[in-house]
Amino acid sequence: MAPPTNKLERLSLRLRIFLFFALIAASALVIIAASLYFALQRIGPEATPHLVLFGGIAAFAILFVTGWVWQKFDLNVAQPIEHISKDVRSLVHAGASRGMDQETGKYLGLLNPAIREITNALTEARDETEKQIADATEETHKQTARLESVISNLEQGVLICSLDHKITLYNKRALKILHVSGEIGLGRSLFSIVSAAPFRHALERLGHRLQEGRHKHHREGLSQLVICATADGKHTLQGRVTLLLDDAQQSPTGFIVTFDDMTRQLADNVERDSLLQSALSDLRHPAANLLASAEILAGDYALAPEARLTLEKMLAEEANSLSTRLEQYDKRSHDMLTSAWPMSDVYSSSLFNSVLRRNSSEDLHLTCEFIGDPVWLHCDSITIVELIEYALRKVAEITGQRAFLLRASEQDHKIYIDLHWHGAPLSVAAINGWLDDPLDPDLGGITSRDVLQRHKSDFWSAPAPDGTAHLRLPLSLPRDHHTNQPQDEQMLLLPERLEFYDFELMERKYLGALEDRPLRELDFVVFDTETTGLDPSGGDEIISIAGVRIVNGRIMHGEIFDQYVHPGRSIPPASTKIHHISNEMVADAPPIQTILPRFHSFVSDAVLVAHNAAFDMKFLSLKQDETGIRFTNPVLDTVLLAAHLQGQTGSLTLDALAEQFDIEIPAQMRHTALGDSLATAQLLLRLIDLLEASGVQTLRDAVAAEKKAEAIRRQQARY
Amino acid sequence: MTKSILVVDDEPTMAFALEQLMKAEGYQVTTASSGQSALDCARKDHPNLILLDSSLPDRDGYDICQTIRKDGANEDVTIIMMNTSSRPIELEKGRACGANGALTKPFSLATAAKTIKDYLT
Repeated sequence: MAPPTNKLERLSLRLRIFLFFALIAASALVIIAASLYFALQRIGPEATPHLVLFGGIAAFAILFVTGWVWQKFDLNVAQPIEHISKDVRSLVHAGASRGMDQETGKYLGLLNPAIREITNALTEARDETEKQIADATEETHKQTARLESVISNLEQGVLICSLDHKITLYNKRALKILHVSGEIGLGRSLFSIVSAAPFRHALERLGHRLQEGRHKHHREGLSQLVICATADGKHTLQGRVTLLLDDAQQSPTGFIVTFDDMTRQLADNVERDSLLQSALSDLRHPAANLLASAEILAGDYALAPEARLTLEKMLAEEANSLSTRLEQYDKRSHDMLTSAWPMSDVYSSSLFNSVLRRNSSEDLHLTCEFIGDPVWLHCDSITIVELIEYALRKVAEITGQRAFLLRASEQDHKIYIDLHWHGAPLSVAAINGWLDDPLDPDLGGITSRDVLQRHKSDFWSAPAPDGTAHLRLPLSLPRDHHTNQPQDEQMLLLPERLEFYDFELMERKYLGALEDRPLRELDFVVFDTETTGLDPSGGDEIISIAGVRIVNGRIMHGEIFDQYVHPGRSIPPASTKIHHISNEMVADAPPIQTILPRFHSFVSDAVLVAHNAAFDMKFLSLKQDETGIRFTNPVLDTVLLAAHLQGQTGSLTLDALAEQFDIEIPAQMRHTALGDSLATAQLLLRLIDLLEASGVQTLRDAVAAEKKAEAIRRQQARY
Repeated sequence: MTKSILVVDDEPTMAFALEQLMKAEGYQVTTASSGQSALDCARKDHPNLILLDSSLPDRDGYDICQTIRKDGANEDVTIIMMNTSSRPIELEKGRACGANGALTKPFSLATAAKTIKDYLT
């Protein structure tokens, strides 16, 4: 539909009809007045009282009849037409498939049935088109899923960037290797996370190689090794930059970077080299001295008694020195895990879940529960899972027990994995009996002893303090610092689907100010808060905050912020009934002073969106002095945008709008910050469709529309 | 009464040196070079202290330690493991198997003599 062009067209249909009737009434009054004036001139002044009476009655009757007809017309014609037109617009522009009300416009003759037929035909045609699109894109989705799977499971970090160095794709491994907390943020410059110079140099070289056509014969093609540092300079990365070409294979469209964190490896290599060098040089001297002294003493030499005594003392001293140095090297080597084997930090609950999953496929009918709080540890998870699972089976075989408990705990700078059962501990001989059995054949015949040696560890069984017996496996502490916050657990529950990418960013042009950019091109963070109550100024606090990013009109399910917040006060039971967040659930959560900076960083320069944004923004603004965090981003409110589009009369709650636009909110997600954020994000995308159709194209237009809607709501609130 | 010590080590040099040292310190000493002979000696002689190498050719030293500890005839014997590494895990495993203490090879005979004296007095 073309947007209204003149002032009259901008007025609503109902107002225009009202003005039409008002014009009729006014014209009738003018005609009566003119007729009476004419009669007065003819009859004379004596007729004035009669004429005034007649005129008054006629004017009143005309006003009454016109008003009554207008009211009936408004109720039975104008309002139904507006209603029908709203439904049709929703159907046409936002795809809502809600059936049209048969009662609406029943006095409009065949209009309503005809429109219903049109909308049904349109719906059928749209369904057919959508089915064709769905069929056509299914294969694309499959390929995309395969790509997502490959990228997300890569051990290397992957970044794909446009030629202007803006990130258009990354995988989760990249976050870890780059030591980025939260999200990288699509569209952000690569050089805000890593040092620029090595990449500029590599891209320049690759550009020249491409221009001169040397890449066709070059050993590395369009790839180039890069050693760089993270932006904070703390970590050294080894990467490989590869140019991406257009379909014609002529011009570069971007580049892909794959990389590994070399910091630890380099440090380990340096340490190992140093240990080897010093061992070789330090041990050579005492060994030579020992050899010389022993040969002289054992040989057939005529030695004076004093000389023999001296040599014997020297022998003892050299042996002592050798022993001391050996002890020192032994200690230094303890700290160096054998990094030739790939090891990583693992969360014990993940490890134990893997053990259980493997065990469930075996026919032993064992039960195994996890006890205690999970901890992080450093190991080669696959072989440790095999080791624990095999031990579980062997212990079950030997003891006849079927119920086990698994616990991971930190003691004395080590992580102990303990397998508990009721009964007697196993003997060393019994444990040694299976240490040389090969584990899973897929692991190439590796044995439990091999795994223990790789981890410089050992197994033993002893009575546990709680009266059970346990099999104990000591492992190393994690290399990196991890926080065992509820967020980690929550992240596991989030959809795993990877949507960190958006290739359209390659084409994106950053032109002009933010407010003049089309709504569809803007980056949004749609967010929601759950609070202890509805009075931010009266002491109510945020207990949960969540946000989801929208880039180029797509909800990024992989870029989600979701965090409980410790409110520093109790949560009223009435509030818990709504959002189901209890005091216990936030007991270990970080305070708002910790969370808000992280959320601010997540939001970055995106447009903030919320349903009834003023409420959430009030909570955030009240914390700005305390946290030093000020949100200066533009803010959009889906309540006001919906009010602008649909008028102020209908319900504008999230539930009502979700129903209208066929947005499903899973029952368990409703009234959770994340669930409502995701629903609001879907709503925003539908509203943008309608806004564009009604001529609201840019952020500036949207803000202006919001202002009008807000002014009307204020007026209404006053009455 | 003279205290008796059983030295269990398959390295003849170490066994000989320890035997000489213990004799010089006034203890009664027997030696064994395998796990099985160590168990036989322990059951026969009921020594006051056993110096036990953790890696023996026929059986694991920790296995021998655990077996001796479970054997009713040697409940009160002091067992000192001789480890080839000073890693805390070795010491901890020894304790879990019933050892009283540990010496890490290489050790000086003076250290060994003092450790044994501490346990036997």
